[in-house]
Parts: sequence; C-alpha cells; structure tokens
Amino acid sequence: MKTLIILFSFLICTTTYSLPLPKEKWESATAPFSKEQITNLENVLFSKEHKYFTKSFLIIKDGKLIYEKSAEGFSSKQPQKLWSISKTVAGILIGIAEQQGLLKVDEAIKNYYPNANEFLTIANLLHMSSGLTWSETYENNPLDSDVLNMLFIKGHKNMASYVAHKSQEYPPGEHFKYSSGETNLLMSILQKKISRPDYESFPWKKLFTPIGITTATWERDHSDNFIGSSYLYLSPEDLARIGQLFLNKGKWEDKIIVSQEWINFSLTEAPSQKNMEPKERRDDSFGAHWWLNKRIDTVGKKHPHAPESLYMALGHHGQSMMIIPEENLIFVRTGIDKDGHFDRDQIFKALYADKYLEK
Amino acid sequence: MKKILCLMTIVLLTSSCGLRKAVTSSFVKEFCSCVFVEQLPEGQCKEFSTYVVPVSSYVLDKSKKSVFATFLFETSFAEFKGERFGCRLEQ
Repeated sequence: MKTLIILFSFLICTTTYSLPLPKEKWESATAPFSKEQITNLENVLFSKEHKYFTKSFLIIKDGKLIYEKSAEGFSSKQPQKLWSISKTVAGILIGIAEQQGLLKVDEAIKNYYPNANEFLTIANLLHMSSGLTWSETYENNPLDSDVLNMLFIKGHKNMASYVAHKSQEYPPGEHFKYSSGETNLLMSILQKKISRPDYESFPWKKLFTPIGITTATWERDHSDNFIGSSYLYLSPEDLARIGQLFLNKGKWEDKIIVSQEWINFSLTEAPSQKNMEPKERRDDSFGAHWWLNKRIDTVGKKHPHAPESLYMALGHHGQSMMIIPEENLIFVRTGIDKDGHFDRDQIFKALYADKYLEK
Repeated sequence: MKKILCLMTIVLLTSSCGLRKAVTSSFVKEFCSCVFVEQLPEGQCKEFSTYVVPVSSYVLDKSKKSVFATFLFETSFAEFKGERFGCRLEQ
C-alpha cells in the first residue's frame, strides 16, 4: 500500500498539466457562457448598427473551440489578412532562432548594418525602442508616413534597408515608439544569419508545420525578406494555434517549439516603456512584440474588464488575438474598422462583467 | 462640391508623387492579396483595398494573377507569386 501511495504521489508530482491540443481540426465543446452573455457578445461584434465590421470571431477554451461565428462570405478556416499580428509571429520566429543559437537578443545591429548606432540591439527592436526616427501613420496622415513609404513608395523593394537608413532620434533602448520598420529589420537579420533555402522555409519548418498550421501565406519584398510588419495571412483557427502554443508554455505535444524563457521575455513590459515619463507614455503596454494589459499608475489597465495577465497580438483595422491565461482562453477576431471604432474591452465586459474590474 | 473636388484634384496633382504612388501601389498590392490570397469577391476587394482616395482605373488579370491600377498619371502593378508567397508590389 505504501509503495502504491509513493508511486501515485510520484506520478502526480511529475505529470505537468497541459491543455489538449488540436489535431487537424479543433475539437468543439459547449461554451460556459449564458445565453445573455453570448447575446451581449454578438451585439458587440456583429450588430449592424456599429461603424465597424467583424469578419470572424472565435473562442478557444481549455484547448477546445467553444464559439465561432463569421459574417457572410468569411470563414474561420480561410486565410485572412492579419496586419500587425504578423509582428507577433515574427517575434516568435526570432525567439526560435535565439533558442537554436542562431542569434542573441543583445547582439548589435551594427554587425549587420554598419551604419547603425553601436548600442542598438535586437532586444531594442523587439521592444520597439530603437530610437530611430519613424512615423507610424496610415490613411489618416498619408503624406508623413514611414509605413506607407516603406510598404508602397520608396522602400518597398528592400524594406529593412529603408528602415536601417533612418536617423537616430533617441538613444537606443530609452524611448518606446511603435514602428513597423523594426520588425522588418529584425526579419532581415534572421535572413542574414541563415542560408536562403533555410530562411525561406524557416516559418513553416520551425513553427507552422509542427503546430498544424496549414493556411499560411507570408508575403515578401524584392530582397525575399518576409514582411514581418504586416503581411502574414492565416485562418483565424490557425492563428489560435499560436495562442494555444503560448498557453501551453511553448510546447506542442512533446516538442518545445518556443522556450518558456522566451515567452517570459515576450510578456515582460519593455524597459523603455517603464522608464518613460507618465505624460509621454501611451495608455497601453508592450512586451517583446506582444501587447500587454499591465496596470499603469496613471491610467490603470488599458482593458479594465480583462485581467492584468491578458496579452494580445493586435493588427490594423481591428485584427486581434487575445489570450487570458487564468481562463485558459483565446479570442481571435478579424474585422474591418478603418476609423478605430471597435473597443476590445467590450468583449471582456460582455463575458466577464465586473469580474476583473478594479474598484 | 464641384469646387472642393477641383481643389482636391489640384492639390493632389501638385503634391509629391509619393501620395499618388501610395494610392496606386497600396491598391494593387492589397487588391491582389484580397483576390488571390484571401480569395474574396472582386467587388468586396475593391472596397477593402481603397484607402485614401480611389484609383482612377484598374485591371485585374485573373489568368496572369496580376493587378494594374492608375491614378493621376501614376501606375502600379502587383503580381501573385505563389501560395506561400502571396502578392508582391512590382512597380
């Protein structure tokens, strides 16, 4: 009996809890939400009265698909434009490259771009803290937009080179400024580290295929660099696999795809943001290519109806993947919201009411 | 309304060619990806791919999987390169 108890205790101690993983398809389960919660959620997302439009929305809980709805003409199984969610996936690839010894986050960019500031590192780029001059505006200010210049006008043939030639506005690592350019520069560093065929297959071989993603398209510029800032296309169901990988602490079945250390690094607020004066800083927080919901002294949480542990991959026009670790839950929403009317916090409010609201 | 449109045209014509290039380039790239990667209907893609102002005209060549567009003497061209590669802005 004693032996049995010892064996049983040993098994409990050595078995780590892990969520079920999807095979070819997500397994379905019933949503643990009331009819009223779902009605509120659908009003937030799909009401025709809104000035925004939701293409697809899904929820994964405990490794199972518990809710999915798409507007007519769209499907959660079809590839959709993710815009800057691409940045988060690009960041994961940098993490995988680091884990494999291909690069180090404290490496100087100068090793690859000799004109770069000697103190500028890969970590600074991951934290959007290069200090390079940059204007991240789109259709609302097209005449002064480095993004439009990079993607469509002066820089579209070699986007990383366009970014690398920007002047230094702040010392590296001291000032947070969201920049699509930094992700494209990161991808070009990975490109310089490995052979052309290895780079070409890297996202598929190291990330997409091992976790069952089959719908990926990743557009490139003329230098064959992945446009990490903006142009990855995945189905919402496939995107949720990346969320599940993070909930599973980087493991997929028995394989470590991305290390727990990298996940911790990714979800820790960028030092540059912490150091910024309250009047200078934004009302949201950023890790290493993930958006966070950390409480900020002056304004509280960006999404008051969600827990502080929430982390997000966000894209232009309202694309989003939002992960709540304590709920074992992933939301994916794709949409069209050119004027920024969609308020993500309304999703959390519809489902959790005041559960995470701080008094 | 007419005066505003005339004024807008003059402003656009005389402004840097960057803006005109942005209009055509962003349209062909986004339109190409919308049709050949996301596989959405042409009408919908036309709407989704128009940002600042609409292009004057465009040609979608489904056999060559390419898109041309023009706006105020500026032309751009994007082409679908393959399933994993999606579309690329060529000029």
